[in-house]
Amino acid sequence: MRLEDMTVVLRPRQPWEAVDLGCAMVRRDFGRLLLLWASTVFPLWAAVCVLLRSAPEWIPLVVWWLKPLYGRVPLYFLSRAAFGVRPGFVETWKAWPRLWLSNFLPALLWRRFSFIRSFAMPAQMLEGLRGSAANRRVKTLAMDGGGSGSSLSYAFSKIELVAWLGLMWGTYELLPESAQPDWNGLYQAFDIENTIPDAFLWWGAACHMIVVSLVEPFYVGAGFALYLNCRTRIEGWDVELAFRRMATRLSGAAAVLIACFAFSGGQAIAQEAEGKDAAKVVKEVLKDPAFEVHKIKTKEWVPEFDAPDLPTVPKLDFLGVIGEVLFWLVIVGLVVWLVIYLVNNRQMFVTRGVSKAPVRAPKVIMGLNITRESLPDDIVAAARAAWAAGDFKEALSLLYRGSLSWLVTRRHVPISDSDTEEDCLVHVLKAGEKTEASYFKQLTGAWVQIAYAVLPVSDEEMKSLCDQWPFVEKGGEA
Amino acid sequence: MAAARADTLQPVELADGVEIQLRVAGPAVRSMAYTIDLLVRLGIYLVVWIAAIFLVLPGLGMELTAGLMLLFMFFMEWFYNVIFEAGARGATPGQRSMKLRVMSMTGGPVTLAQAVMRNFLRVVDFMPALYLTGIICMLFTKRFQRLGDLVANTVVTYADPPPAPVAVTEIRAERRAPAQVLTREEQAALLQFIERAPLWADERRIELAAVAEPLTQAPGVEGLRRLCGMALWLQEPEEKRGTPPPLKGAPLFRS
Repeated sequence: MRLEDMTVVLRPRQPWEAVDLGCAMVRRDFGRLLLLWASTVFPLWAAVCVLLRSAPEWIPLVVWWLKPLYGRVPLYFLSRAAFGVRPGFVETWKAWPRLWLSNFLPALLWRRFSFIRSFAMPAQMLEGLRGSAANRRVKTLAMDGGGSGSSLSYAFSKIELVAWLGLMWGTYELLPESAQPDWNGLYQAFDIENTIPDAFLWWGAACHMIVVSLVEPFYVGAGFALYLNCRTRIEGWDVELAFRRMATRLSGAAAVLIACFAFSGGQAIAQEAEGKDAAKVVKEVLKDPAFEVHKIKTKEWVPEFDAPDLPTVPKLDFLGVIGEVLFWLVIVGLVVWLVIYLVNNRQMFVTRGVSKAPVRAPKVIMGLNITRESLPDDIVAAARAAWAAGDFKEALSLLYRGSLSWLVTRRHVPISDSDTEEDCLVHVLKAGEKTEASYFKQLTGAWVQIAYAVLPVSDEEMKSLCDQWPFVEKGGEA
Repeated sequence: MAAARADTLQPVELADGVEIQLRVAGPAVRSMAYTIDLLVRLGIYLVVWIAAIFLVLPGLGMELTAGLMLLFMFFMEWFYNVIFEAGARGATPGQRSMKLRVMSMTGGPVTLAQAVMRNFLRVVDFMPALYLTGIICMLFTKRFQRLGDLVANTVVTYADPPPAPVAVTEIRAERRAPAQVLTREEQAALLQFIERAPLWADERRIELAAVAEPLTQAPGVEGLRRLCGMALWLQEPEEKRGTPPPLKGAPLFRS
């Protein structure tokens, strides 16, 4: 036994944690254990089934009774695997008869009902003790781990029972009716032989074997781990292991030093070896779950309808058509409403104060209000009155505004509100009558003279302007 | 070889690169906790049923009482675990009595959502009957998780700290610094040795000290004495407490 090669991490654990360690050990090698199990236990079961073929109801009991034998081969494997030497199949099979025959009767008779079966088995099987010595040894160990050993047995027998019932219950509905017991008849007459078919019993026995194959290795492994934990606590195996490693390191360092002195070429060889080791180490590191590449696959479930089912569903396509028509109606309605609204409220977009003028004539030119309403009815009289009152500018302003108003409204001279006096004159000369144009030319001169040059306009000129005023309604126009 | 060493401590790397070790609990101890919880629930049902027969039945009649009881049982079956696991202790009474608790995979307490998820999925773990799926799943996953645990990202762990042996033993050895620089593992081994040595027989102590001879450079009892001295030095390098001087002929360990 070399503690350095242990493939199990030892440390003093609590009993239940030791049980978990056993489960971890078994899980690690479950494939091999199952193969060993199948090759050693299944033949025995086959023999039992053949022998009891006329009384299948006894098979589970016999299978249960023979349990101490089953765990021996897995224990042999586990105990060697724990110390770093995994036995091959051939080696295990060679050991198989010896394993089963040693302690054969005690295990199946008076030790069968031991509550610490799996915990005691390593002591009996691995330490090679016999008789009273073995008993003493088990007792010593049980002082520390016996209670946990029986708890372990309780936990695993419960798991086994529950798994057995679960398997039978879960697959009951899959049985053909001929294999299902007649429960009513069973309750009424309690006639087991006639109400429970043999097929049901065989199937129950098979379920039991499946569950035992699944659970028993874990039970054995857990007992072994409990035993290991016991010895670790009592004998400090973990400490010994650490000390051995330390000793190797300390003495190994010295050995390397000596080697370096002894061989000059040693360094190169060592480096080469190191390179090989590095690749190995990288591989080992990459095996760690942390470097596992995880992928997430998303599958979408699209329910499939069978074609024949479809006709039963009423065709609802017309709903879509109606919906589309409604949609477009709403859109058209919205557009129409918008147009009507805009038309009704178009004044919102027009500058306030501009009325629906019959002509697009400007109302203000050069800051002068030329609307007819802002002017007196008799412009000439008003101008004369203003002139008589000495307000010359006002008098000429009245004449000028009045003439512009006339020209713009009646003669439709294209004058815009941004035109100057010169522009106005040019427009009038182009569009207006000759008399009006010449008068307007004279008037503009007088107006510019008084308004901008602030030069006096003679009374005669004013008089002639008033007398010649051409912008009056004539004849039919009135 | 190192990758395949079986252990019950399961390392989990957190998002910030910190690695924690979870003391995950396996199916055996969890089945015990479950059985206790089952018995607790059955006991509660029994008490509530008897109380209902005497207090509620005369007033409300048979059907209403039975209906209320069924409602009560429904809530117990679905929320008994959720409420206890999402609570401050993170454990049902059964788990507490087995010194277990439910944890998030990150080592933190479970959230309400996780508790709901892992317990509502008991229905799946129960299938086809009597938790067959859950048992198999627990046996064959590394962290002993059933399906509900896998989905909710939770584990059941041991709640109490690892057992610390009480050392009231007086060790008559002179403190001395180790002759060589020791790694952390080796220091830990020396400390383990000094803590647990009082439990062992003298022969076993000397046997272990002999293994560490490359460090102590002395065989037999003298090696043991030096080893104890180094371990004591590691425990407390400065001479704070006055160590009883090693007496000639006096036992090395005295309780």
